[in-house]
Amino acid sequence: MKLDDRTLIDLIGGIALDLLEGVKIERDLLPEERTCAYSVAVFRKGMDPAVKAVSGIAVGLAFVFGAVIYAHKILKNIRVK
Amino acid sequence: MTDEELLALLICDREAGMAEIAVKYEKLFVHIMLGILGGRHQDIEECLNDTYLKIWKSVGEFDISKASLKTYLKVIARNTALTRLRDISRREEKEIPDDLSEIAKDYVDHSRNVEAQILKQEDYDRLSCIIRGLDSKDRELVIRRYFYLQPTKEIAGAMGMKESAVDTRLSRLRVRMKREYEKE
Repeated sequence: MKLDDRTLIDLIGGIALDLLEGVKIERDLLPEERTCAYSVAVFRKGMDPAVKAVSGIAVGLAFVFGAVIYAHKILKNIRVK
Repeated sequence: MTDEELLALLICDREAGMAEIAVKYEKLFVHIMLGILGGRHQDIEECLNDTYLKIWKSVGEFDISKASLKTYLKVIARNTALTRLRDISRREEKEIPDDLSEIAKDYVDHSRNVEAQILKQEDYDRLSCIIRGLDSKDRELVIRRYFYLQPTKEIAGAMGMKESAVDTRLSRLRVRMKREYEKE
């Protein structure tokens, strides 16, 4: 019997089940879960590195912005005095 | 609920067991079917119903010593989706649907005039033996491509490989498996 792609697809449907045990495609579902950005599942299973990077930058910018506003207020108070 | 508990529930209260399977595994079934049937939601819905029916009928056949319940369910979902894929191509009278992955399109391409083979247990065993001889990474590549009909991009993303590397490796594996299978 010739093993072309179609025959391979048909044949592989009946292979020994233990061969399928090691291929955990259910782990592929994680990226889909991550589209529910801040769901518990995301935090429990770990964030995507890209999401981590973006949120890190956002937090950093917020910190810098907050520091600038705080410094501005202090300077304003000093000038008034 | 563990798979052992789920199987016990299926045996003593099939309806409750089926409800638990839907809660635990429906996303996985849909994921498998999306890969094989593309974005054909009507077909996926009907395929899901067929899958649940097959599970209902197969409860007594699950042998946990050979494979986990999850694996049995994945096989049922996959084979049901493949049957559906064949039905779609017959229904659409040799027009290959556009929204399928390349490998799914190849599978239903009637212009290639590949007649359905009668497959025997020894054929399955021979292929099992060949796949068993592959290393774990190659085995995963073969199973993702030919069992789940996943496109190159999805395989590359899941396995942390470049798409070109997936294609090259699969091409070599195809040649190797064909050579080994046809020589015996």
